[in-house]
Amino acid sequence: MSRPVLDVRNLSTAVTTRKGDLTIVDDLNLKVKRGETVAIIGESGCGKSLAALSLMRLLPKGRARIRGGEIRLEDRDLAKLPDRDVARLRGRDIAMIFQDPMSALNPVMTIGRQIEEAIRAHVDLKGEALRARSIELLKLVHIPDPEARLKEYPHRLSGGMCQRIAIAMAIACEPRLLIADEPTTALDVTIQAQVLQLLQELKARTGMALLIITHDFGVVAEMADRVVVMYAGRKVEEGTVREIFRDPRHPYTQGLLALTLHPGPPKVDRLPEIRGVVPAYEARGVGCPFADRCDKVMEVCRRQAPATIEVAQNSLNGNHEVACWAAELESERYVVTVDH
Amino acid sequence: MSLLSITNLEVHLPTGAGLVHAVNGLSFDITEGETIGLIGESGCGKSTLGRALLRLSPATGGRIELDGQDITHLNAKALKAVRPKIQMIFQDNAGALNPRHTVGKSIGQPLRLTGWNAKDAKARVHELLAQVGLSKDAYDRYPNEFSGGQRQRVGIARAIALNPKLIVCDEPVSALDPSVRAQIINLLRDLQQRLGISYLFISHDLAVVEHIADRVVVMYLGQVMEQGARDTFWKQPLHPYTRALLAAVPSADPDTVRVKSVLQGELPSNINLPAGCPFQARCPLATEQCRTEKPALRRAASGNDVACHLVDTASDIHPQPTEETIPCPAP
Amino acid sequence: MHFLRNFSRNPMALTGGLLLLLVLLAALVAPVIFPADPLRIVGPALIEPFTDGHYPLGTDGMGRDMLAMIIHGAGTTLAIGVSAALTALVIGVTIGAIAGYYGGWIGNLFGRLIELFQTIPGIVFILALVSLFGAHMVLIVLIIGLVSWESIARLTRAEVMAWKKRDFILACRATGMTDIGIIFGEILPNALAPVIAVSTLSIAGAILAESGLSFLGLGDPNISTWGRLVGDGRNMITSAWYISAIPGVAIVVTVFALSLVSDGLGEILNPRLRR
Repeated sequence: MSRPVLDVRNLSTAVTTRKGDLTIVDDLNLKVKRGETVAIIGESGCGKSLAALSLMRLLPKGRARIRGGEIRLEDRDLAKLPDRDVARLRGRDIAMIFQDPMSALNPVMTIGRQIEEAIRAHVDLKGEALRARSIELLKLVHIPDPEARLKEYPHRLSGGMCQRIAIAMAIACEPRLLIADEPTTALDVTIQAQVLQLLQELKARTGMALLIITHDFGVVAEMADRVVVMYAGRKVEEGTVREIFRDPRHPYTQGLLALTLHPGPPKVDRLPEIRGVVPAYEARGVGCPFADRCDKVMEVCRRQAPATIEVAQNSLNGNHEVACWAAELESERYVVTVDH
Repeated sequence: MSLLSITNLEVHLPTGAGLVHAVNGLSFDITEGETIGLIGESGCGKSTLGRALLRLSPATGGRIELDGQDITHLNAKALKAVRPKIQMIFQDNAGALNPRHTVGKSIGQPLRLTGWNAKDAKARVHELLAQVGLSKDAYDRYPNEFSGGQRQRVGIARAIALNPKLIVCDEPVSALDPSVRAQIINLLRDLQQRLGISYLFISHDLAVVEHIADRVVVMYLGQVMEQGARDTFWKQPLHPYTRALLAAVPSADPDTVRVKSVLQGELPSNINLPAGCPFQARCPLATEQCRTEKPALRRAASGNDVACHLVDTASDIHPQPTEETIPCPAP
Repeated sequence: MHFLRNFSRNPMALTGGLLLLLVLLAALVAPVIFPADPLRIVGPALIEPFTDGHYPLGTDGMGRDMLAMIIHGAGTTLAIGVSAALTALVIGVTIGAIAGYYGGWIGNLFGRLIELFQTIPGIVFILALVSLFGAHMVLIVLIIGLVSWESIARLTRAEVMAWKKRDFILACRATGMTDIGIIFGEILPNALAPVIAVSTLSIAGAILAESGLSFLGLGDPNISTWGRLVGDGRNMITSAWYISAIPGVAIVVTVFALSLVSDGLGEILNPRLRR
């Protein structure tokens, strides 16, 4: 099998507080293969956005930093590269789009100028060729009447249009990996459908890989090949999209799926709740961060953070992994009954 | 008798760019203890409608009747007696609270404004905190010390302080994580069962509306495209717009292949309303009649009211888009 | 109180605050240490500072005690500075709040009013009004206030416009609060944070304006402020420079202290509440 486009190993990112460094992203392992879509799903505070910023080396200086681990983009370790070299890779090999399309664009520059900037960051085009490429990009993202749009300013455009332009700028230099941080959370369902369809189309056309960060299982079901579930800065489960939906092993994943609403029967009166709240990072102890909210909690969960185990082996598509003592117990029992 | 009755409501707001026709001839009723789900895309006028019901935006036409009383043009003084009956909770749970007021002060504000003395108000606030699932010590803390879900509970506590009969919920859970969303939806349900409040639940999230609403109204450019009761609406949506909205919701099943026809374009500007059907610009089935004649809301056999020339109301046969989407001109 | 703790943690605000405290102290102890009229002639003229034990800061051209005049000047200078800034604050916040809260013709009218005063050159306006109406302390305070309110109004207007859009204002209206109640009870407490910081600076501006007037001999002749002292020493700058320099240094230190406090306040009051 070919080398993955992105291979993240033991990534830890910390934010700087008055009392010292506070680790948010804790020992994250993640692989994205060529042309694959990986979804990171988690709720506010799980560290998914900080992880994404770490991958792009866009952490605010002095306030957050990568504490350890590797971010291998093809053959280079982004975590160790000096800033100047990373800047050369951004846009060309790895690009990102963000949640709020309105703030992704510079309000005092025309659309055309911004796209041109994105192109010229890595490709030396000028004049007519540059303009032609800008229009080509706008057509790629289905912006109607692209020639006219070049002269407009972002405030005249809707959220959906701004997000498409942000996508156009991100793919201007055909990156191998596009990171999308909650790209449709701020958009209406119809516009979301359009943007997701556009991302699929671009993937098919350019063969780029997509790392999509979301809290919406619907988006995951539609877009992802593999899913990573994050909680309190750690990966708690990973598997193919089918494995996660049909056979979730971690109680958090199970809980989230149970309360996910989607149109269609059956109807329940009360939505199942996950009791409690996400623990503060400062209060994170040695055990499993989900212990206080878990229905299957055992004594060992509070004493020791669970190790990641493989629940199913499927070397073609990667393994179904989960970090949970209860799940480990259940899978052992399951393996015993099936195999013997 | 309905609790709230809206008849041909019009809200046209003058802005720098022109007259915004936010609400154009809307009519529906809400009965006691009922939840109406109002669905539509951003800019379709649903938030403006919510505000108009609370008389926070002026109605430029039509009638709003609350508890049998016409409140459309009441002056400020007469409104004072009516205001406690209808309250609102907001999408931006942080912006909905004064950052300089403690939670206790924010929740107690409607009480103090209607003449409660400090002692009784404080007791009532503690009662409300318990009802929405917040601890007693929340009273003296500030909004920035709470999470989004907790702030939304504070907003809810404030809204129920005066025992309203109707609460307009303007996208109350859109900004929340899924697990918190479930908690707040359950809370709203519990409060409704306990206190008999009606909700006008405004949202662009169809799944949430399907879960919580007894009846559903679909809005487009300030007009009703379709409305119906829970049992019939989701089984048999008739209007092309409703069907397109439903098709756009990502299915939570990885094996379901998405329907190819994704609705193109965006909601057009409501400054210059098109003649005829408001949905014509994006509708893959629009005919000449649709462009010139505005369809009226008619009762279909299944029980839904639908405003579309192409729906055969007698037999519930609705128009089917073809497999390939007919590309629509951009707005 | 939160505020005092934050204040003392901010080095800028703390330094400025301490300096101001010194000035205030001087103003307060003046009648105690120097009970007699400071403008009284007490000794030989033109004694250099730091030479004579009786007159630590020397004497001026007429034989008046420099130290006594400086200490007494603290009170008058501060008083005029603070009152003028307060006048500007009251006028500016009122007009700015109305301009920001109300749309339509009221908002427009008050907005244009602010712009009108923006175009008037400050010093020229002050000089013109003083020559017209005379140089009495109360009038000077009012005139300086009249010239300085416009920047406060602009800031207030911008802040009010931003806060007005928040949903909690809608919630207040939904419970029947009046406009006045909303402006004073809900919006201004939030909007005033940056305004207070700027106002501190406008005290400095007022002091400088008054000093300028007095220096030119257009101030109130019965009051002895630092500006007046600087002006009195104008003719002897080359020979007895200290007569102008010492009150000049006092003005500089006070203005500097005020700007430190203003910057510090800006830091303390703003970011917290912006959430």
